[in-house]
Amino acid sequence: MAIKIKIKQNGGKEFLIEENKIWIIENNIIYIEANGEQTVEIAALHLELDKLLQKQIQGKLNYLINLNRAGKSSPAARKVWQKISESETTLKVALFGVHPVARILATFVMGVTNKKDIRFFNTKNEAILWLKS
Amino acid sequence: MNKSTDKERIQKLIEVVMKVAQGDYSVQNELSENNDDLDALAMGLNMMIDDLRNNVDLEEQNKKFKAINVELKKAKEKAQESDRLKSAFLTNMSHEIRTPMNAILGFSAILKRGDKSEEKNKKYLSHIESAGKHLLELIEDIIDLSKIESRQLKINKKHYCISDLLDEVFEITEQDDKLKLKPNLKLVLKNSPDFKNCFIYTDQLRFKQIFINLIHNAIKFTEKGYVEVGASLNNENGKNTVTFYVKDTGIGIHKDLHEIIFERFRQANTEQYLEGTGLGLSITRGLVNKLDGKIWLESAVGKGTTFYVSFPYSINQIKPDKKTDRNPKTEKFQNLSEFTIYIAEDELVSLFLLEEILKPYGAKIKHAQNGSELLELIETEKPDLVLLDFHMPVMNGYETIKEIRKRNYTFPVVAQTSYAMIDDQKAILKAGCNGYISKPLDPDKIIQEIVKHLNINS
Ligand SMILES: Nc1ncnc2c1ncn2[C@@H]1O[C@H](COP(=O)(O)OP(=O)(O)OP(=O)(O)O)[C@@H](O)[C@H]1O
Ligand SMILES: [Mg+2]
Repeated sequence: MAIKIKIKQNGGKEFLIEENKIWIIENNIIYIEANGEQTVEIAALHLELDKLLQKQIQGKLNYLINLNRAGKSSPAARKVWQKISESETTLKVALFGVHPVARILATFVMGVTNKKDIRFFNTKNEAILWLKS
Repeated sequence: MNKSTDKERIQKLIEVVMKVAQGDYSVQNELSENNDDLDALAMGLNMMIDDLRNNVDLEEQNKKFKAINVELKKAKEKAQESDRLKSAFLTNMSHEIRTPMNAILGFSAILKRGDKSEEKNKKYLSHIESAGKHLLELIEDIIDLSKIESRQLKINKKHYCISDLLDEVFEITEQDDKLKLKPNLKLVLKNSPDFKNCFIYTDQLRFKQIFINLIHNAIKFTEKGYVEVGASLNNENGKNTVTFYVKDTGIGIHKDLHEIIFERFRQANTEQYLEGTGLGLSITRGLVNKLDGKIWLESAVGKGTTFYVSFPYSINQIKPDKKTDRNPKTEKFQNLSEFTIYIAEDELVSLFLLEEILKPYGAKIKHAQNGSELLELIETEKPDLVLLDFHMPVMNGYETIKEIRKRNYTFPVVAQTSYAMIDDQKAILKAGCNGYISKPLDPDKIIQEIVKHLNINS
């Protein structure tokens, strides 16, 4: 298991961790499209990747996470997500998804963190608006 | 999806929940592709089940950690206990060593003044002798224990008649000094003609040691009544077993201490000081185990104690390898003036002692400080016999005897060995020696051994 890097047509970089896709939008938002079950190994690689991306981004990071095609995350994986969201370099975390399963997934992740600036939205647009506000 | 399918899905969810209720955390709900409320419920339940399993695993881990902690604590306590025992041992030991040392040095000083009557001098000398013997026993105990614990004790097994063994143990312990000081205590032997045809396959030296230890204890811890030594034959599951016993009417041992007394440096009675280091029984048990036997005891405080030791035995068919080695009677006085004896010995005091022992017999004596000096002497003139110390610098006993035989010298060589080498006697003979005497030297035995090998026609 490793972080894979793909150069997109517009020259931007896309990262792959198993089924998850990650890239940077709007300068300081890390966009994660979570696909399938989220194990602790995957979460750990996200932590690695964040350290890498931090060096490229000025100031603090925002996270935007698409849960529409995500599977459950294991208890251990949730601990890593908690670490990422509570990190000093993390500003806000927005999770979104249209259906009830996504909401449940988001609730479980939000349940383990003490972070205040973490929220669930139904659509990507709503989420981005909040992140930028 | 229609309603009845939803009902089915709900039923499946319920089934999973029931399994979890019964403690099965390996189950999970299947999700449809709908991503609807029921899927959300299923997903939520799945994650809750994961959490539950996680907690259960944690609890198990915790239990294991707790168990490990308990073990660690025990190990720590054991280490502390053994520390405590070690210092108790040292205290005891220094007392045990000082007491006889005090007698030896004290009476020697008085003797040196030389102003006492012949009779008194003899008395002092006997004190010195018995204190020396006591020290020797102590050293032998420590050597035995360390051999047992480091698994270096060598065993030399032969077939011995049970009846003979009992007789000999009795004869030895009858001479016990403490027994002589206790007029109200009798040592009784219960031997039986039945034992005449019964043989055990054992190491007689170690066998005797076991019973001498047990009988000494019985005598030490009994003021009046009797100490009885005997045996009984039984057949357990087709195996012939002989159970020896040493029974006393002494102070007894409390039930709680029946195990502990077998541990080294352990004494049951810690308030009242009785001489001893608490090594006897741990050596005894070590020897019994080594000889494939069992040891146990029955005791009532104030009434007495019986120690039992059992071994397998066989009847008749086997001829004993040899009559047990009894101490032969001292030989009649021999004149050795025609013989030349070489002594290889690096310690001058030991040499002096040997010379003093041999002086009255008139043998011609030459001395070498080590093996190579001895070989030089031999080159100039051949002796009639060599007394060879095994522990020497430059060229030790083993090397020397090998070299002597290599050069085809056939004169007899008698090894002088220490107690620590008692198990190596076979090897010593194999190396080419004709016999051995062990230090501390017993004058009678030395003369016996020398006469045996000098081939004197009398
Ligand atoms: N026959 C007995 N009657 C009562 N107590 C006994 C008897 N045999 C042993 N014990 C108890 O068991 C303890 C341990 O015995 P053990 O022979 O190991 O040591 P010891 O006799 O004290 O010292 P050592 O034998 O080393 O000189 C004794 O100190 C004594 O308290
Ligand atoms: Mg004893």
